[in-house]
Amino acid sequence: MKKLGAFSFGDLGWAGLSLLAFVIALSFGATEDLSWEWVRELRLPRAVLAFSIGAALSVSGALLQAFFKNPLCEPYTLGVSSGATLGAVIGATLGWSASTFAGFAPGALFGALAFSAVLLLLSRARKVSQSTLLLCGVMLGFVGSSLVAVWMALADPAGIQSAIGWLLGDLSRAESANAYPALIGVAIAIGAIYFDHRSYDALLLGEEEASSLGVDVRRLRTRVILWSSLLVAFAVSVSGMIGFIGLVIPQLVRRTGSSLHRRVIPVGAIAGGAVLVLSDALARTLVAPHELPVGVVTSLAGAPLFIFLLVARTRVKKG
Amino acid sequence: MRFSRTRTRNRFAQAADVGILFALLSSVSAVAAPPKRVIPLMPSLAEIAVAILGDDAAIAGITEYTDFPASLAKKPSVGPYAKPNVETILALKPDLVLAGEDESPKDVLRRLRALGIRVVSVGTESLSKTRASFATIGRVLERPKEAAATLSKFDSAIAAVAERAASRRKANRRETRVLLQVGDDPLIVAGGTSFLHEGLEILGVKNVYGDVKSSFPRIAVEDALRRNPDAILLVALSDDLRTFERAQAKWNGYSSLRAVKEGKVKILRSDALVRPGPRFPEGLIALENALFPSTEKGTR
Repeated sequence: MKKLGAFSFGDLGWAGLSLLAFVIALSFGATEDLSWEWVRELRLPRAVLAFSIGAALSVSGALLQAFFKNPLCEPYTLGVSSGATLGAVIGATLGWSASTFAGFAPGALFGALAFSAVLLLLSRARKVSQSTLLLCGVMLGFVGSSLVAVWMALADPAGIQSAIGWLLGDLSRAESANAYPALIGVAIAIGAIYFDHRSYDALLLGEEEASSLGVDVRRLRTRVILWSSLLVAFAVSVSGMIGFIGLVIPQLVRRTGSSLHRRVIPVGAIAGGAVLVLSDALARTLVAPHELPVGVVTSLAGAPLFIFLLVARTRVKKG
Repeated sequence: MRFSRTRTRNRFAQAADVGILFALLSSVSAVAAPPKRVIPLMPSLAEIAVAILGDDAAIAGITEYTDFPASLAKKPSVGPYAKPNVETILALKPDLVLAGEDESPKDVLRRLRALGIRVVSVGTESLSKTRASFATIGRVLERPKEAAATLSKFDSAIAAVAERAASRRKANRRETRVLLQVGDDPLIVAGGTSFLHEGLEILGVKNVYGDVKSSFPRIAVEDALRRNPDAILLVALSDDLRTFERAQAKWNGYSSLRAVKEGKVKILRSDALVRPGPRFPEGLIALENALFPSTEKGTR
């Protein structure tokens, strides 16, 4: 494949996919009979929000996988998402619940930021190594999800239905007033992450090598935790837990071209966005007027596809 | 919340987009003619609307499980009551959406209003709120007289049940203690703030979970055994009878329970009972017949 710097022609495919995803998302829904006014009010913001969240999840996954040098890392590994969930359900019992404009968002954001702060404090400690930090994040996640289970056991069953729906991923609260600011916010965060792309490349060689190349690993660590937590906090608080994208899209992007982060970050953002826009369009239309949780769609459609790609690739190599 | 205000302003700008003529037409039609395309977002609200209107010609869409009167089931569905689909609602071009104050999702209602749809919310979680909802719905449908008639029919049916309860109390001084189960696994019962608790009060029986200040609490089986009710009634909704048969068998395994000894673990198939609408008294009579088979009345 002809190279365009770190980029390849294959990356145009991702860009094309995201365009196609937008066309599909705007054309299909629960009904064919919808005027452009309403498409603009309902479907467009939703597609934009889906794109922002897909991009946020994919980039934060890529970031964490590179930083911890662990391909199984994903945005939810560090427990920030459990913090968001916990915040959301506590918020719901305090009456900030789904009834308000922002739904579970304020509580979720608060919980995610609180957990992020704990992680950030841990990451500042001198003696905490990379792998210890990772484990601490995972433990934090367990604490969060156990506390959520406690709440689920005690709360009124009526509220649980909407909480469960939200946990599995729900973009139905998208509207112009939140989608466009979200897109801008995510773009800024991804831009800030992109700024460090050379450091991530260096990190893939190992921490010491990166240090010898002039990367201040401890400072980088703070930035990684900060940005990935912010992206996850945003994504979970707006739309609940949407699996698969943060784990698989970065790997898919790495497999389809150069692993330099100068490519992985922007292409990962576009690919993650495209896949979530497409998944959400499916979630809205497949069983209309019902809606499937979008997280279910991403995993159900995406996981087999990924396995297929892995196997197909291995075969080609052998042949 | 800040967003929401900005949004309202956006909506005004949008309304200008759509055209003043449209805005005028819709506001005029809302005042001048009774609603012709109504979407009730709960089965009970559909029942109330149809009871007041006399037929379902003006019902443009329904939520799932809206099956009374039976002809309503053929209307287009806008999804489950807990998550109706905004796009589907809009495509049905309603001039009135009836919603449950606590049941219908607030974000959907807020969005419908922002898109210029007339939405009226009524309370349903207590009998007094249900009674009030008759009048509200009658007013917005511009059929206040029919609404008053529906309400008085409702009230007299309830009064008849209460009268029989009073005569039972005279004959038998001991109060019957009842557990009203509405869900199994997890075990969910009617608590002290639900309208079903009020129903039990009208029947002159005691809800063993009346002290729990929640509408439908989840409870532990142990706690139910400790409270040892005289009767356990399982209110089965139309489609999950088997679940309740299993639950009934489970209760019957506790042979020392008073309700089991007296053969009073019963399944009650009554959609009317769980719908806070005009058929609630019917459901109440079904409950009465299950509790007191000897005093069975064919009253409707």
